[in-house]
Amino acid sequence: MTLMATEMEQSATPMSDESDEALMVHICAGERLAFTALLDRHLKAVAGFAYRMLIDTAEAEDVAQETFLRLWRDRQKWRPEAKLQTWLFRVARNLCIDRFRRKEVVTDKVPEQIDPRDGPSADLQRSQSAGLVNNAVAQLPERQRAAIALIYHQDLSNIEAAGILGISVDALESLLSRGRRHLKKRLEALKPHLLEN
Amino acid sequence: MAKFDQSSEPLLDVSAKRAAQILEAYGADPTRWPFSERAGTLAALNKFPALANSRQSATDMDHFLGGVPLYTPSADLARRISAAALHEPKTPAWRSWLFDLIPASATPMSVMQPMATLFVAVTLGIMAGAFIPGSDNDAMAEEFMLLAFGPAYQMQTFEDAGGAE
Repeated sequence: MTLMATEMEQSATPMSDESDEALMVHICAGERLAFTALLDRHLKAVAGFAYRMLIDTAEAEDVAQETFLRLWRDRQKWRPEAKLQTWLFRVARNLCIDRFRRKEVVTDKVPEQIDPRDGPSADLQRSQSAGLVNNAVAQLPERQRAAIALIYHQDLSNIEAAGILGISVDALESLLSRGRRHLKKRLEALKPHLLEN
Repeated sequence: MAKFDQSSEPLLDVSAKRAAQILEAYGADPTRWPFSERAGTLAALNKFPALANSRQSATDMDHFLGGVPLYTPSADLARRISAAALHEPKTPAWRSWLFDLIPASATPMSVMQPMATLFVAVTLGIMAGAFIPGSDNDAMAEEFMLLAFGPAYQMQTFEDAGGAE
């Protein structure tokens, strides 16, 4: 393995410069360096998406870990025409849904309470605002939350997001509109708190 | 996020209604709008002042969503995943050989259907072989003897059986 790693380092194209498709070819051959390069490239996005869905750091990292382990475990079944990013987000989303069904994750987290003895520091205010926003997003139905996470927080195109969710672009726009309308209602209710912060 | 260069974007004619839909779904940031409708939506916003309220509402919502804290995974998450992959059991050689037989384009159904058909055929064949009645060898032998030796054979067997009385 060390010798193979040395040979790879000396090869013309470093792994980090290779496309996802090229990395998958290496991964299918069992090359762990290629797997590491893929992790470096996509882990933050996948873990970030899982966090938006679950609003729980530990659960999000579990989902991210399981997603990539599945890729490694089932690499022999990889179809070259498949798009890696779509696959990663789809698997992560399904794992998040499994957790919702098993009720391992509490989706209606209550924001931190203010201790009046503490001064209104900027960090505390930001933390409280973030808690309120997270709480509002956590109240959304799963599909609306996923649509908003993919478009807004992962910066994917509408076509990419629709592909991940397995729906048409029209259906995606419907989910986004409904999700943002729900959040707008919550925003109106929370505005006094947000303005204070 | 990619920079938005209006001069290089295709200019599709976007109605006020469609522009409002785009704002409601994607927000006020043009880089999130559908690629083919970006320039047209901006043109519609300039053309229809009534869209100003929709734009402001979308901007407020974007600020709200921007309040969701950025998430950064633990520093050692990648290392943990790599370590876990290192300890994954290797695929046995016979499974690798079996998977090599399956075309890369095969779907689960395209593999399962012929396998199921083969299984049914083999099962039916075994059952048919078990229940087909055995041939009457004695009757065949008798016919052969008659064919070979004629009525004299038939008389002999008749007498042997006590038929001469």
